Amino acid sequence: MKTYTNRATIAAIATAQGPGGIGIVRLSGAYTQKIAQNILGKAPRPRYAHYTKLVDSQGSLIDEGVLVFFKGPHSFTGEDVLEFQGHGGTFVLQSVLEYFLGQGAVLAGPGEFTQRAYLNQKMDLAQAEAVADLITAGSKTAARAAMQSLSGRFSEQVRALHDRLVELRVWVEAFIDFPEEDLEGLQFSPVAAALQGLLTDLQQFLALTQQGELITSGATAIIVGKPNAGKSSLFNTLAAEDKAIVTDIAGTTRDLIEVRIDLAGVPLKLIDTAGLREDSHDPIEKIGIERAQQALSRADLILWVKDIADKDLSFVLPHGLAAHQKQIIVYNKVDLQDNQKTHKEEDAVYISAKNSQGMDALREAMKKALGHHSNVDGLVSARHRHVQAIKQALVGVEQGINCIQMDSIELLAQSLRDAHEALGEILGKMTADEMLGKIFSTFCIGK
Amino acid sequence: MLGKYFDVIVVGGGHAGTEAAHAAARMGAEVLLVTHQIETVGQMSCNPAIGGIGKSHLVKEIDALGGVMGQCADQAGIHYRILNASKGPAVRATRAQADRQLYKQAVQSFILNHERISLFQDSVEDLMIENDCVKGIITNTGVKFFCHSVVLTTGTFLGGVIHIGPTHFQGGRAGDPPSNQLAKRLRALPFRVGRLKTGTPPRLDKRTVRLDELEVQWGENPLPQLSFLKSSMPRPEQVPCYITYTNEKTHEIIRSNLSQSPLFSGNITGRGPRYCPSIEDKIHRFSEKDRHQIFVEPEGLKSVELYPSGISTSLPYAVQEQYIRSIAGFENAKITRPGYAIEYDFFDPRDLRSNLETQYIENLFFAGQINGTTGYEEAAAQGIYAGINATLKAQNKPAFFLRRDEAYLGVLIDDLRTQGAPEPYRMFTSRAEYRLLLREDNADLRLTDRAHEMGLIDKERFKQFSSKRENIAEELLRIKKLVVHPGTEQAVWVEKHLDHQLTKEYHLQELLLRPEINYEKLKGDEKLYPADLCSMVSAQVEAQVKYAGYINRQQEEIERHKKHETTKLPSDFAYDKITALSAEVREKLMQHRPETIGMASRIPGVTPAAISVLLVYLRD
Repeated sequence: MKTYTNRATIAAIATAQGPGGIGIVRLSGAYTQKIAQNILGKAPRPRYAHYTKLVDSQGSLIDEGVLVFFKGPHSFTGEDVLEFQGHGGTFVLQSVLEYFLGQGAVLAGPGEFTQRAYLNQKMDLAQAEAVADLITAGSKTAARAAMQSLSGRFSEQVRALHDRLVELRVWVEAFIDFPEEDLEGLQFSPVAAALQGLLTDLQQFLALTQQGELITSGATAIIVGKPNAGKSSLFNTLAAEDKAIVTDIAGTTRDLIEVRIDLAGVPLKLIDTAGLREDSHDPIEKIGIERAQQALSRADLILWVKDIADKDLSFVLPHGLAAHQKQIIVYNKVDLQDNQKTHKEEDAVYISAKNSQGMDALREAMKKALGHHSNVDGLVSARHRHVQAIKQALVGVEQGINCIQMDSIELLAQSLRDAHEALGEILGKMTADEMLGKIFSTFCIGK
Repeated sequence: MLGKYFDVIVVGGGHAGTEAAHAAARMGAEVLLVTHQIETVGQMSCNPAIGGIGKSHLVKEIDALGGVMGQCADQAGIHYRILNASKGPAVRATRAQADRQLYKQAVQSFILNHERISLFQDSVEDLMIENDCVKGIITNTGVKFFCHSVVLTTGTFLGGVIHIGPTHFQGGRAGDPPSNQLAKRLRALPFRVGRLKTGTPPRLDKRTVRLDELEVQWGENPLPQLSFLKSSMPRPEQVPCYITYTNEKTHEIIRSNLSQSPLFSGNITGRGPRYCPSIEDKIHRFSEKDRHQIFVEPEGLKSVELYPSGISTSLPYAVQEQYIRSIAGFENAKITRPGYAIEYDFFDPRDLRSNLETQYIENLFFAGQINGTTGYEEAAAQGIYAGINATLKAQNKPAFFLRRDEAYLGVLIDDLRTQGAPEPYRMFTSRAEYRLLLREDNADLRLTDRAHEMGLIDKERFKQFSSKRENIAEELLRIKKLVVHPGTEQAVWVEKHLDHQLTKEYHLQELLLRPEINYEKLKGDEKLYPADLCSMVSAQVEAQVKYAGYINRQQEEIERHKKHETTKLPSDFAYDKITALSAEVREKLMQHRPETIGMASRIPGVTPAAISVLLVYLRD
């Protein structure tokens, strides 16, 4: 059986691609120390900045810089780790990497450093995910949230809720398993009140976690509407003003066009279904329509764009909205209209994509529809599974409150157990025996 | 008998031993039960009660498997309580106070009257072992018996030491010698051995207790049963229990004598149960409590003794007398037997296979307190399980196994194998994650078919069960079909219990789902509650209906977990080579050698992260 200690020593460029002042190549694995020794001509001192030159087999200089050696397990991955900090620049870094590959290291797979750190129990799953989030963060807000999760803030907050739930379970389980004991103060009213408080705090935490998921995973918005409603202008305005990160170069103009923008911290994928007519007979356009339909069913937010001068007011989605989908009706071309005459719909947004009129209001509406609050304080990066777990815990607590009203203690116990298990998915499980231990240390029980 | 080859030899005649022997005999095995004294077979050595929360669930399961405990308890029960009666059926539990003499007689009549059970009175000195496989036993007088399987149920007799104050002496139970030779022999085998302790209270002479000063507690009427079998025997006379309390004076006496308790002087090193602390422990640990409850149990109809539950102790006799007399109603009480603490050897149950066979010696099975459990019911449950498996092994048939979602017995065995016994193990309903499924009322529905397949139950029991099962199915169908229309007599009947009128028609099943409605409230209307509806059936149907939503979700969870439960971990898996696991987790896995990922996940300290590491390795 293979073990991780016997696994290959991996190497990769640790800094971003493209020219930069400093570039770092990182190694991890059992062979690292030997490689460091080869370069320095002596054993490396852990956590010490060795100034050194890298020279290839022909004797020519590749780069000069600082070599730092971390002895496992006191390193990021838990294995021996080496970092060479040299000059940035694609070509130099590539040569340094090749030098190390020549010394016996192999190219690391995506995320392999983090994976090793996780396998060597240098971080828990939530933290490992936070590292991945930090690296791929699509916005500054997301990066900050990932950093907070990495420092264990998310786990801390879940732990606090978890402990309150455990305290309630201690009472309820003691009530069931020790009905004859003369347990002082074992009453239901405080349990009901505490459960209500927990419900409120879980709801708040869920909102925060959903925010975290939103800024971590991002969302998808799609622009739809009749031809000439101004979809493309809106698309271009949003893309230009919010600094499109990647522009997808689509095959034909009839295909979908997408950009990624940073909508006040939310990494948003924006899709334009430009130039599509629903009643088209053009086979190529039909394919485009099909794709638009698919994208539509997957989007989190639908922007219905309509020429304000258009008399046809019907906005009907072909399949209706899915539960998680939100829509905003956007009346465009208000600059061509006499404002006084227009009757304004409360939920709709009125813009002129051409001269950027109403764009701030639209952005606010989009953020609101996606459930994003501009207050990012306390935000932690979260995964879909975290959101799911907290939702489940919330369901358990809600059911528990119902059970108290129904006077069913065993169902209350089950609901609280379900809620507890759900939070255990994030933090790790608690055994029944640990639970009993808490009961015995809280109450004097026994014959 | 000499020279005869037995399928199964059971060593010990307590609750584990008798269930093991009787189960094996029911399955057709030739059984030898060896005990140091035939007269004490079936003896209740601690408090005179069977059942209680979590425990009655085990008794009902033993009964469904054709075991003797429930039937004996019903033949000896002199006071019954339904605990948690005001709560739902899943946590309701029956407890019987048993007349010690009647109970022992009932057990002995089962054992002595079975044609395939032979008895031999002697202590067992040694096991005959060849190539790590047990072949038979050797008794104190040098007699050898050969067999296929051995079930050891030696209780607290292995290396037992009794403590009363500063005095201590060897003993397996007050008045009985310990089994030191066997303990020595077993200690030489590669089993991990630990030390546990438990205790009993002083017993009192009933004639010297002022019963009229105590709170009286009468039992249930009508009389419940612990056995599913319709009892043809007349039930014994019912008597009350009593309640009194310790007081500040009692606490003062105990506090000033703490140093004389071997628990505090350091003479006792074995760990005692947290849920069954001695009175000196309670007073020490919960100093803010100004009184502790004492449940005064009758020892039997003809007995002159009382068992004051809740004040077990190992203080010197003189102190026991002093504190007893400080208690209301006990002012003149005479102690008939002093309380004591007993320390004994147990074998780490993590060394057992899932059929309760030891990992190191083939065909050797352990059951009962030897595995670190406490309680008659826990012992009996393991006894029947080990007896069944020892027989199946002898008959060359696949082992009998129960999952955690199938029975408390499954929870018990799995807990022992994954958690070990850091303290004497006692069952609680909170240990069962599928508590709503594992109820007292449906133990027969869960296990009778399995029992029938293995030949554990007779035709009569299966016939009774089958007819009950049919009646349940019919009743379920009836409530699904019966429609209550608004304005009818039935609607008016139901509305008495609702705060509103029915505005549309409902099936009776939908009405029963409401928290305000139950069968009890339907009684009186012939259509809603037919005269021939048996209460066992209605109780079952009610539980199924009321819990339906939760039970369906639990079933889904069970299905999800089944994958982990069936993902096998090789027995030679090199955990020590996996550096991705912490040293602590590695050590735990090396010790336990779990059979499946599911089991590994339940070992304390094995984190979800460690489980994902194991899954990575299994995939590799």
